[in-house]
Amino acid sequence: MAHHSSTSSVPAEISEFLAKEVAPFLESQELPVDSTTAYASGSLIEGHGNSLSDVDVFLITTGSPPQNLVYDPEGRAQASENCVVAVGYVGDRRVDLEYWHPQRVDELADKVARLDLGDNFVITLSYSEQEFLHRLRVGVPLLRQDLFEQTRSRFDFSRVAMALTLGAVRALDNALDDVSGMLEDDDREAALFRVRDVLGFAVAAWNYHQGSTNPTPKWRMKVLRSLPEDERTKFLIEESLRLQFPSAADLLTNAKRCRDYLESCISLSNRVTEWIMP
Amino acid sequence: MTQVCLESVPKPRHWVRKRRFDERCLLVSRGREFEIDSLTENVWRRCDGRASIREIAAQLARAHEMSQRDAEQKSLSTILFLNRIDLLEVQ
Repeated sequence: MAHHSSTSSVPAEISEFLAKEVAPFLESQELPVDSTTAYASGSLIEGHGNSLSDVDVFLITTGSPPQNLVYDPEGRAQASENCVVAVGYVGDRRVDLEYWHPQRVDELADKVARLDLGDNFVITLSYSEQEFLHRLRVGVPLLRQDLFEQTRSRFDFSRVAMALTLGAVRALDNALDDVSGMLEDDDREAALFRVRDVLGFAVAAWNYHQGSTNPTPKWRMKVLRSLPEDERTKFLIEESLRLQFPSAADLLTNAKRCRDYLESCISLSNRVTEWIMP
Repeated sequence: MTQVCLESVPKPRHWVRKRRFDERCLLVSRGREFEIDSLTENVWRRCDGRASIREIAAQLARAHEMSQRDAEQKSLSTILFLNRIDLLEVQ
């Protein structure tokens, strides 16, 4: 467990953008200086993003987003479960600003410390909490680096990775139950769609088991490829790609081949969970 | 009724999965959980739909320093039991 590196080098173009555009923008905001930290995170920081990806900026502060975002007259702010999100543009690049109240972060630190990772495990971290945790882990400080480091050190990310692993295995189990039922009733089309989730959850579980905390489904393959090379990871990359893209037309018209294919997917997922919990 | 001999090949039912929580090892089948001991787990792990019971026993004998005859007996009785509760089929 925990072989996955949480650090990555930020592309030079993004570093420059953060330093020259985003940091001055944040400094110009009327935020309580003593208690506000801010950091950039997300796919661009991790090197997974593309030319259309946005930059995610997290602020841990008692302050609020500006009524009118400086760079976007149409910018809007909306409250979500844990934070307030404001969206704006800096040049052509979209910037999402998430404002988290320090008290909410304290509660989350407490929640992570109290996670029950034993027999009675229940995934209690919401998706937005999972994202927050991962992005704090891989973030690049923009304001008050000392406060940022202090906040980050309050979280045991190996516990987070373990909880995510167990959560992915639980999700995998639900998907396996579905596929098995569909297979028994020869509901091929539904089974072929659902088995893709089986493969996805198997990859996610392996990524988490290797120490990744990235919860975003679209980056599963990139995370898998970023893991240290070993026989198992290599095998999982090859097999999950092969099984994700079968010939659906052939499988829908041939019950025997469809059954064999679905059983191969189940077998791969069983192999992965055997690696995780031998 | 299925005839089972040492040349039979056991294959886990596709709806059964093995899970480990702390020290407990479970076979989970359609919402039912069966806690298994280490011998059963060792036999289960070798049931891949390709190895015969005789081959599974040989692997078991090597890994656990038991006689082939003893390993065959234990493998056979374990597989018969798992087959009876429909956790695996025997071909």
